[in-house]
Amino acid sequence: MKQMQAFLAFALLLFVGLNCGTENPIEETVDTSAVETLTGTLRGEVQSIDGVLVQVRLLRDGQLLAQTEIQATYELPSIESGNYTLQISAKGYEAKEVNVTVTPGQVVSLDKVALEALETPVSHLRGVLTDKATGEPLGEVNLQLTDKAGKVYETLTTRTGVFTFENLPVEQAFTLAIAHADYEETEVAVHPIPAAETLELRVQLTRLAEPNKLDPGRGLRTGSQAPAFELPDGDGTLYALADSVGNKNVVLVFYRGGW
Amino acid sequence: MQKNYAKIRAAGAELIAISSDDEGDTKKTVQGSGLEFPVLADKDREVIEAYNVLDPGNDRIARPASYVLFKDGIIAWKSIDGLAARVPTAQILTELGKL
Repeated sequence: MKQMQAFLAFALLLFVGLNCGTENPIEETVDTSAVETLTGTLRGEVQSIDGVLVQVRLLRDGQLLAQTEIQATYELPSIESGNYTLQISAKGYEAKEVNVTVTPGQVVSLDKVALEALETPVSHLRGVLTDKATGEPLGEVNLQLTDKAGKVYETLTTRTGVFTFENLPVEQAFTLAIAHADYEETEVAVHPIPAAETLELRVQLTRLAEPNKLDPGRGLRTGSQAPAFELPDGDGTLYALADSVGNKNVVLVFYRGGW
Repeated sequence: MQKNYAKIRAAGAELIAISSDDEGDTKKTVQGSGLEFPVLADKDREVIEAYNVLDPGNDRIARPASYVLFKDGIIAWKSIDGLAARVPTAQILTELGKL
């Protein structure tokens, strides 16, 4: 997985780790008497910015796992225990990263984060991803935006198919790549976006034709490879298809038998 | 089927017959009809299932079906019969003539 947006060194605001000895942050114990759970919860707060939505992204080993769009507070439940990086960003504001360790059955409450306004001009890209045939939004799809310098920005669509890339370099063209196992691989050329502007995009994916299922009992398709086999004849002598195939055409006859 | 075997051989092809009979029943069939081509016992129906010719009305047996294979094992032609148990030899020979 390619690395996401690079962040300034001092963006590393907090280090929260429940396994880190005495320097534990505020932590609460959830009642786990009923079921022993293997997941934990992350929650926190961001100093709200008038009219600006904040993006919270959860990454593990550089891979984007979850993303949510918030006003001020966030809560990410059912997170498998382990080490994560939380990225907090908003349009026109500098992104911040928080490293965090999730332990089973715990709620990790992170310190309130204040984002600072960016001084360099930036642009934004926002769009909606849908199925071309049905118009249905496609949620939780990974999108990668690459600029001309090869830098990769990554995001996931929301459940309603909305995707957001904030704080992109201005006056630069991009390529937006969308990979989804059930859809044709799609690449969209994105023209440079002027400073402080948000480009709105509508992206449609074409579902891959499903391989036609065989009708039960209707045989295999002509043009496909006949499955190899080895079976005994009435005297117990093994006979393989490979004994004939290769030198001769074969006529294979299945009959009902004397059942 | 035996009388058509010569024609299939003459067309340069090998004939193999398969059913879900066990080896004993297969032997009876071969001896009773004097068959000279390989007649194979697929009592676990593995090959019948692999060729997708299990009888939908009776999952213990194959439905009557014929495949013609190219020399490289690619399926050139197939015939899946309904209830008729006849092997369409004339059609098979026509298909073999096209290969």
